[in-house]
Amino acid sequence: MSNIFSGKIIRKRRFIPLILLILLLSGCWSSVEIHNMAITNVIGIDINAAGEYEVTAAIVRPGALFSPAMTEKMIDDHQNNFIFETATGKTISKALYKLSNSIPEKIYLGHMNILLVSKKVAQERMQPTLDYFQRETRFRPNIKLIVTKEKVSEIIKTAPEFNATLGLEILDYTKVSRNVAANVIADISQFMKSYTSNTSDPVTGVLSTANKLGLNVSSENHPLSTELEDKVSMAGIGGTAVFKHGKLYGFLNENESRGMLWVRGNVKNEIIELNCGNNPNENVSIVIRDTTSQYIPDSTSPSEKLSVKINIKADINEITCPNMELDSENLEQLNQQLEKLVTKEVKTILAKVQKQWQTDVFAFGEAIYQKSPSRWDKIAPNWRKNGLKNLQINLQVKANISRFGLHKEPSKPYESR
Amino acid sequence: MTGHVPSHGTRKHAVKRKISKPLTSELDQNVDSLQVIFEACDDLRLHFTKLNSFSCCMIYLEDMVSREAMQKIENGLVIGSESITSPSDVEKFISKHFSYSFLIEVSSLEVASENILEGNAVLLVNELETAFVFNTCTDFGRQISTPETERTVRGPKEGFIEDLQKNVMMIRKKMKTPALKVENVTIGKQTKTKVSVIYIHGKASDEVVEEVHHRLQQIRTDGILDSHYVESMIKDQPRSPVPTIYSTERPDRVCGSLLDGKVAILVDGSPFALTVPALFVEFLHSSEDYYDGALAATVIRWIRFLGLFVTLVLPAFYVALISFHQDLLQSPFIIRIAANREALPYPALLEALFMYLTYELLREAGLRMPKPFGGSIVTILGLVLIGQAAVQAGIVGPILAIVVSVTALTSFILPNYVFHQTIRFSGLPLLILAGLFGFMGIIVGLMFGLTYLVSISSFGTPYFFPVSPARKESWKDVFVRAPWWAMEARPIGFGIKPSSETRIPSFKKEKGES
Repeated sequence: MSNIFSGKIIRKRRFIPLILLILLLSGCWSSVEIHNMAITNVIGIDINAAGEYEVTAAIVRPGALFSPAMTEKMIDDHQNNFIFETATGKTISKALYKLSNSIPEKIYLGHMNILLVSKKVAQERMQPTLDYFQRETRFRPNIKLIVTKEKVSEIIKTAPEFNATLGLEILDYTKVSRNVAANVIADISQFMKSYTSNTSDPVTGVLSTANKLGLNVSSENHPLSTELEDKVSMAGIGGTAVFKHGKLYGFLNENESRGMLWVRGNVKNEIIELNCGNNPNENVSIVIRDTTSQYIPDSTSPSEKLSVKINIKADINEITCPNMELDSENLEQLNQQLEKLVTKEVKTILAKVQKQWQTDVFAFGEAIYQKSPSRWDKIAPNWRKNGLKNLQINLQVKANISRFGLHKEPSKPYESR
Repeated sequence: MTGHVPSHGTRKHAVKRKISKPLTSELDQNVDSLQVIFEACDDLRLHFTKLNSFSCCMIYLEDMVSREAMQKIENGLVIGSESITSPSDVEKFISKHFSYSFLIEVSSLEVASENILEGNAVLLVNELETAFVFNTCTDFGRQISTPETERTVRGPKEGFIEDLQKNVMMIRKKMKTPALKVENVTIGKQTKTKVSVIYIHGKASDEVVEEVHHRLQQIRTDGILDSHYVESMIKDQPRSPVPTIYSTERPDRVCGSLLDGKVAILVDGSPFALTVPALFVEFLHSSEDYYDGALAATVIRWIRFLGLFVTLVLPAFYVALISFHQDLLQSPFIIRIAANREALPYPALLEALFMYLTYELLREAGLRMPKPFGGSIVTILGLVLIGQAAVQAGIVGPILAIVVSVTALTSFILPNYVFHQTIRFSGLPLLILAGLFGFMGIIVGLMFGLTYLVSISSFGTPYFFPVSPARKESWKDVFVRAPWWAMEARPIGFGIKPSSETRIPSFKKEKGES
């Protein structure tokens, strides 16, 4: 027992306070209490009349959104869940800094989901805007970048109806929405990849309010909310923003977006109505299960000829023609009808985007580059001048309608015993 | 086996006996010397009788002997003593008539007094320089009952008790082989505690047995009251908080270890047997594992690994997460936590320490509380009530209350009590590191811990044995619990020779055994 107090041990013990000192002097460096952060899910960027950035953030008030557990305080129904702040500055970081000044907590950007960019910003200052979001360490690289034609500060004020915050709500559009244009939304890292690449041009989704999309949204007739009736508005994804030379070039509407997605092989869960007779009211509606596409540059002249193979798998999910028989002949007829429809849509979009706008949102350049890199380097400088325009597209569409749901032919009266 | 050269024969002289005063042929003189030794021991009884013409004296401690046995011996001494005519006849007479209860003939005062202290009766005869020791020990003590600390659903239900002889008996009953060796050692100047070293000859490594004896010999102490005294004095790293000797209350567990080639150390007066060498993974095994189906046992074993991890890092993880790494949370979750923490005055680390301390206080109070006051129920109830009250009062966040309660409960997944304590308290430094440095602190803390565990060894076997150094053959009892038919001849440790015989009846052909 006595050896515990021998010199060697005591010398060892001298280090214990030193270690404690190291631990305690470091303090809780870089630790932030969670309630000292102003969480924001959406940031909108616009340019005001003076040419300065106008940054709008929806800051969550957690205590109002989720009433703290086990506190006696009653939460007032009319308490605001969010604070919307708008600040201006010559740079985004300056604007955000100003924003932080007006609230007692520090703005926390680690949970940002959506970066909303106005049409004007997308047209004029895309590159300088993205610089901040790429450089700053607090952002995640998977922030979704969305363009809006409407006023950014207005659209951010949309109240989320199905999620805690608007950011999560818009994020859900990109994940689970059946809307075809939702498939074009890119996050910042994807966007930057095609932004900087000379083989393709970036696209992303366009956000607008439901009213503009032609949908009628209303909530239950709660007597209290009559005065808030105008506030019941939903945002939705509609259309695609197409970029060229790093700037917003034009918008595609819903149908044109679909046409573009056929080529890119991204259409899923889309509903298409086909005729099954002469009566325009009798239709077969099919749902697209999966689309794949393949670009095959011509082996002899890859930069001039390119064939696009589109493979569509679809299921029947509604038949309103009473006398339709689902035999192979009829199915073949439906397949052909679908192929024709897709070919028409693709040709329209090719005429607009390829010939007229000359932007390579389909990444044809990528296919040519992969086929023959040396050739691509030669034609790359003129690709967006005349190269893309003169590319001959040989379209091969193949549709395959396979499944028809729980019953085959439409039920008729008196058909069974 | 550091620095020890095993030498043969040392074992036999394990107990040093001072060669003291021999007995004389004068009865009165012997009795006087014994009375001097036992001065002021009022429970010593001197019983003067006569064996025919020889005066003699029966000496014993009144409370230690069994009255029944004493009566039988005294009756036996009266009947048939007529044949004794010379001093040499006494020995013949006694060994003839008391073949069962007669133990040994002793010739020194010290040994005689030792035997008296053990509860035997000593017969001193005039004109004889030796004394006769009769076995009169009482059987009194706790009945064999279920082991309180290691309960199982299936499997044997008996547990060790305080009586060494019965404990050895329980092991012997399970292993009827002369290869089971029981070697006794006496330790403790005052308590003279009997310690049995048990092993299977041919399975246990001679070096380990040698080492155990060597370490036991080195013990210089006044008394051994529990096997932990021995454990702490013979373990490899005396200052280590990590148990490197396994202690168990279950005879079946000890037998399993013996079959694996380990050495068991049983201490009189303690229901906890020690087995060496002990491996880290062993502390995560419960006896139940071996009585369950292989699948169930494997799943439960993995749940135990998870439990170990949760107990160690859950509070630290939570504190690091909400004070450093908020980015890793889900958005709705971070908003919810922020909402709950809005009005809280203390940082998460202090809250966690406060809850930790509260739990430890309650646990200790619950354990020490006399049973009529409620005992262990109070711990759980108290934790829930105080936790809820603290949350309501706004001292502690609700999620932290959940985290600490879960950790407190999860720690009981660990089957071994000593190990459970160690892991429970290891969570505290990790928590502080997490509060100061975030995940970095946890990782560094765990790294240091793991490095330490890998560096130590138990009786020559690396502590992390089948994992590091890796021996894949042994993994069938580490990461999974293979069915018994697949477990034949598993090598158990470094420095322990693999058992040559299959330890269970196997479907395969018996290997050439004679």
